[in-house]
Amino acid sequence: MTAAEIKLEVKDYNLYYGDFKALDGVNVRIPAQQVTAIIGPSGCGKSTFLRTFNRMNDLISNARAEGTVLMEATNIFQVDVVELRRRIGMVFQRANPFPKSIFDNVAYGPRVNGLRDKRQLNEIVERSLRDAALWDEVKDDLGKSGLALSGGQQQRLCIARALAVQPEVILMDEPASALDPIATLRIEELIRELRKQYTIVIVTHNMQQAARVSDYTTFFYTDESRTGILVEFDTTKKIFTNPEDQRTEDYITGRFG
Amino acid sequence: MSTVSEIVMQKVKMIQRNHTHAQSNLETRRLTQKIAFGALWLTGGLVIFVLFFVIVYLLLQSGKFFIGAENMLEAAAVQSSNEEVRAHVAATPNTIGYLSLGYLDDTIKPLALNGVAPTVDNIIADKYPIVRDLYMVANGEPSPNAQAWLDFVRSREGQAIVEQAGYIALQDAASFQLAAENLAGELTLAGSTTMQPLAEALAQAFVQHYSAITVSITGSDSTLGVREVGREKIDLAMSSRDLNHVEISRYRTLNIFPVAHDGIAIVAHPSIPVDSLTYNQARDIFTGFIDNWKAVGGPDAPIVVLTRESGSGTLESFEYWVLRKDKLMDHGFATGDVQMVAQGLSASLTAIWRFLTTRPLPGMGGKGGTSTTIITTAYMVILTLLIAAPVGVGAAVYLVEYAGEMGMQNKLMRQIVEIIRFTVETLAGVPSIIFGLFGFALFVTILHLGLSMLSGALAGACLILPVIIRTSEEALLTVPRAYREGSLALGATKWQTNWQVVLPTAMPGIVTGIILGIGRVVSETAVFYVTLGGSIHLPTSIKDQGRTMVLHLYSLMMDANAADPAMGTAMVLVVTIVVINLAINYFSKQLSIRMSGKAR
Repeated sequence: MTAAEIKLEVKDYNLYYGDFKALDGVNVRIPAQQVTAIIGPSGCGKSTFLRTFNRMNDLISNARAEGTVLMEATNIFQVDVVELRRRIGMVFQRANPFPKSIFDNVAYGPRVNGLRDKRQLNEIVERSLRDAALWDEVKDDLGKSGLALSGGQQQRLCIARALAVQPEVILMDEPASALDPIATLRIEELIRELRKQYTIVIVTHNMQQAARVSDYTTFFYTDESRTGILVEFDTTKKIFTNPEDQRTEDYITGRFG
Repeated sequence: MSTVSEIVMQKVKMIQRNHTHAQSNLETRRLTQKIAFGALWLTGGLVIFVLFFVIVYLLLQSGKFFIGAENMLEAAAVQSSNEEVRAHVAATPNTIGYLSLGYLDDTIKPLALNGVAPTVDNIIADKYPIVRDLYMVANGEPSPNAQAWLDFVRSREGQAIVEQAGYIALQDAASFQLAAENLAGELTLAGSTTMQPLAEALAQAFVQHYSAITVSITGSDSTLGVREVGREKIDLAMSSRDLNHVEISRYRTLNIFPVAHDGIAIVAHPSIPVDSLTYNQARDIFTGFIDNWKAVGGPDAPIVVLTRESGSGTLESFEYWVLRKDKLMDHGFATGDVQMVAQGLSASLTAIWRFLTTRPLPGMGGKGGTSTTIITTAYMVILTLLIAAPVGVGAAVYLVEYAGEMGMQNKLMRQIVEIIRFTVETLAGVPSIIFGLFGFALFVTILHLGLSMLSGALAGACLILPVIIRTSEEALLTVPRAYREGSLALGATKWQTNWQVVLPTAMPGIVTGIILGIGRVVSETAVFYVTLGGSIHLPTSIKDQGRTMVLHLYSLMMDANAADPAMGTAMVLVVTIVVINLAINYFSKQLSIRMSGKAR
């Protein structure tokens, strides 16, 4: 991978909650416009690591970070966090549409960034809903409340909402774990489509999903100390067919969950 | 073989029978269920229906609580006897007055009420409603002389004289019998001027039988007469009205003896072309709401209203009829006169409207209405909320979003928040009079704001602030953390997140807190009592004094000793509170619906 193809770079990154070390010495380079999956056993810090990129860990008062995280050579801890979060969007595990209309949900991001022009907002909303594969289902009633949609639709709404601010990176924290299999498949299709325009980092505990959806895979691991470490990073094909590390192999083959 | 098939057939039949049995069992159960539900619905509906009418009826019967605004015309010219009224009406055009039936003659024109003329026949037939009895009142057992008098007056002979005088005789007059002993001495009567001529006529006949008794009759008025007999200064009082409860409680041993039935006729100058008035027209004329003859079909001329002096039994009987709409309705129900009932209903509603729209008058008796107090109450609600709502909600947002659970917590901040919350909780339980005194000390005195709406609003704001803070905090805490995270992840600032996501979501709960605040302001006495002043006038600036409905009620009960208008004010208050709560309940639901999406 050339330097131009790297979107996010993490160097010697440690994360502490008070005295507890949650992540230890993470080094990884996330490629641009690819889907990178983060897999690993429960409690190994996958979500915590994901939330580093858009500095959501700042919300936790006793969280402390060491090391460097760069987005295309910019240190994310030195830029305005609001601007950073516009460039790096997030989709959460449980869909969390606001108690507003579908239109207002999707338009929320552009609006808080200062966009007022109705025509532009209409365009953005339509484009985002189309990109999230939700437009056809809701185009007749954008005034309906976001909470009145089904689970899968709500999650796609949240994706549309994230797309509306035109980020460069989309972070997804187990986006389909709360959905039924059919809705899950639709999300996975969506992810493959979005790859063309965005860099996607997706945390998943579903290995088959990681195998289906991602181009690259990161394997995180933790022992009794509950401190997470990054064990291996490589193309998905290699990780799932011929991993370098024994722990990776054990996890893939299901010797531990 | 056949037995087997028989057995099988039997079994099949049994199964079939059981099946249908079970089915019909189920069907019967379903049917009984339906009947039971139907009966329940029917009863429930009937109960609600009846309750509704009972409430409406009671409300309209409460006419006496709303007469504050309708009082006998102060500007009416006062006459001191029936004869004076008659003379005045006969002589002056455009006059109207009322007098006892016995004083009707050709010099004046009696007006019919709703087409019913004030005649003896109409009164006996229970068609004419302004009736009253004429009484003799004794203190305890009547003296022998007084007893002889009473027996005479109520005998057929006495009643004949009653009829001659133009009144209506009692039904069950017996024939007169002379008393056993030889009676002599004095017999003193005093009281109603209405009854004076009648008493004199009766006395002339009486002394024919008892020549040794000297009868002395003094005319003053019914109230003075009752007082004299209560003090045992005279033998009998003449009263042209029933005893009132003050007299009954003060002179506990009074006995009243009806001696004649009488009616009160409304009379006008003979030149007036009007022959009949409706009940409501009559009332409006004597209370001053109609002041020109053309409003009732007469010439374009101001109506000159005559009335009787204070203390007159005729005045009180007439006033009682004119001002008490519920009496009208009672009479209508009793005689089956639908028109009277309808007029009583409309009169009650008009009275309620007038009570709400006229200003309270100073002085005893709680005269006037409640209009200024209603508006002042509204002012106080708005002013207090303008101060308390932003401060309260703002404090709650700070405590929750910035200093507390949803903000950056460090140990110091958490402790400060704990202390603040404890203080707020404690303040919520402090008696309101303490807020009143605090307000008086700080706003009225130290800050020199004086007794004013501003002082009252500031003190009231302090009172409801703890409630608003507490409920707003709870509302904010129920907003899911996921909403905040979702908003922040989109590149919104904390401020934007609070304004555009958190606060709107918490709005129903916050509104609840504000409703509680409004309720407290409307029903608060102690705080406003010491900060608002007591003026009955409408305040025109926030530095003016004023009076809320509750304070007015309090003043009516305590200062003016006017229980009836106080009850009326209380009713208006309760209705106001119910309406406020209904309205805000409705808006709160609308907000919820809009926010959580149309029901699935």
